[in-house]
Amino acid sequence: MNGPQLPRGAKGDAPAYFDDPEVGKVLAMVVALAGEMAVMRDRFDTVERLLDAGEPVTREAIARFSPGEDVRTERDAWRQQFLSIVFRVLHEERERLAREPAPKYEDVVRGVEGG
Amino acid sequence: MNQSVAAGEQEKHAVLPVPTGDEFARQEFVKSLKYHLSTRVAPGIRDSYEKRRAPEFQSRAGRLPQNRREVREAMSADPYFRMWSALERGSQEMLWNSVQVSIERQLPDLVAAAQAAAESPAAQQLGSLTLDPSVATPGYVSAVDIHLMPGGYYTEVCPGDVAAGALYDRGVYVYANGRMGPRNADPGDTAAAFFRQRFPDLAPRRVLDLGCTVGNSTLAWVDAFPDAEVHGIDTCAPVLRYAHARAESLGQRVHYAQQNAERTNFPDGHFDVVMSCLFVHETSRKALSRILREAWRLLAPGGVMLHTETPPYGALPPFDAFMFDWDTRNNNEPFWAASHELDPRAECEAAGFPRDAVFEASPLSHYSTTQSKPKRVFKGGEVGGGWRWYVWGARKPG
Repeated sequence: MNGPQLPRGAKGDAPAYFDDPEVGKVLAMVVALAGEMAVMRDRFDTVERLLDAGEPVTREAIARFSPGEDVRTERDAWRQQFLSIVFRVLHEERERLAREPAPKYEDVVRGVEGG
Repeated sequence: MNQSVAAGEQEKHAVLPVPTGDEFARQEFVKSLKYHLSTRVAPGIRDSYEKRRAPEFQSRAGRLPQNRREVREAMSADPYFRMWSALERGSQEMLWNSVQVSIERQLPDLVAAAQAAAESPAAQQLGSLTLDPSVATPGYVSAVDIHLMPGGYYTEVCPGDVAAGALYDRGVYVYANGRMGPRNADPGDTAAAFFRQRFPDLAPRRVLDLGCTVGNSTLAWVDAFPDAEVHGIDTCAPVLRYAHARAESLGQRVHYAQQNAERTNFPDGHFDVVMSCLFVHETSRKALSRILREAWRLLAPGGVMLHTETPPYGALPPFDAFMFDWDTRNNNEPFWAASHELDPRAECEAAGFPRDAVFEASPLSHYSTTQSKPKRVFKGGEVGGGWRWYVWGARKPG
């Protein structure tokens, strides 16, 4: 890229989400990789659609391919499935939380009174 | 530069950055990621609160958390909430970056298009652009980069730069998943529709949009009142250059000027409407008082001031207020919390308006009520279905 570069990071301190800040960096890299994988998948999908339509598969044609609403909807569905796989451990935790019983009020009273 | 792909459903114009296939895919990924986080991950936060953190708090304090601050105290170390927060913030950073790549590739063309619009003979322009380099960027605009947009509204990377405008215009569209309409005009459309209904006797001759950035809401007022002379002011040149080129390209007449809403150079009583959209929460306590007094000065007798924002915390249950407040500390929105707890009556009265001239309302989103297929939620703490904006202001006695 020869033109001017835009600043990539926003001014302002980032909150600390993890006791070890390296965890946050690794998480950001994992999600970035997932994103680039989704970009590759959409590109593949474009190539397949050009082939299906019997159109020439050139880099220009791939860059110019304009997905219509049906294609966007299909890709949206694929991405949700893909993200469910990427975030599987979080979904399992969420399901465990949903199954966890809410504390009984009497137990809370006993806990508070127990001292 | 003919590599192009349909940019979702966002309306094209001369300075909208148009993504290639890969760039569009990157923006679509961010959209999908935000949707996934809000519909599949965020719901677990409430379970974690109600089943784990609230009872823990209760054991310590002898009562449940009473307000959003206590909920925050109870949740600050919750691993599930922290993980969602880190992902949500990451999605916001990725959002802007996904648009920046596309802008950098096209920037010389976008700058040239804006220059052509600004330098064409005045008689051929619908509106106008007046820049004033002596207008300083206020501290509340530059202290941090608001909503994590790198460089904010103010950074310029080349002469005649419009990148901040392009980044905001395209970024907001991706952020909202298109549910603010093809011109991101929903807050402005909603406010104009509310104004018509509330003040049917008023046909504004002049309208002023404060902190207009790229003119998303300014254009809504041009549409609603085609006979009015519509002005937009902002302190930041990159967004104004973009706003002017965009409006000209879309065939809309707006006069944009680089001015500070705390102290403009318009004469007393010049406007029938002084309004803002999603501006108040990006100012500051001190600046807002000055802005309201300036609005009072600028209004003609019988004129109306109105500000459009997301709904105040008001009577929200503590957990919901806590979630809604996430942006204050995680999305570089330092005035978010305080601006959502303002008392419109006290504010307007201090600026000179009579107390009984103050109004507030929560009109249903114009776009959500006019679309047959409303888009879904795009943020963790939000409620699905039709959503509402919050409008507050006052009328100057006639």
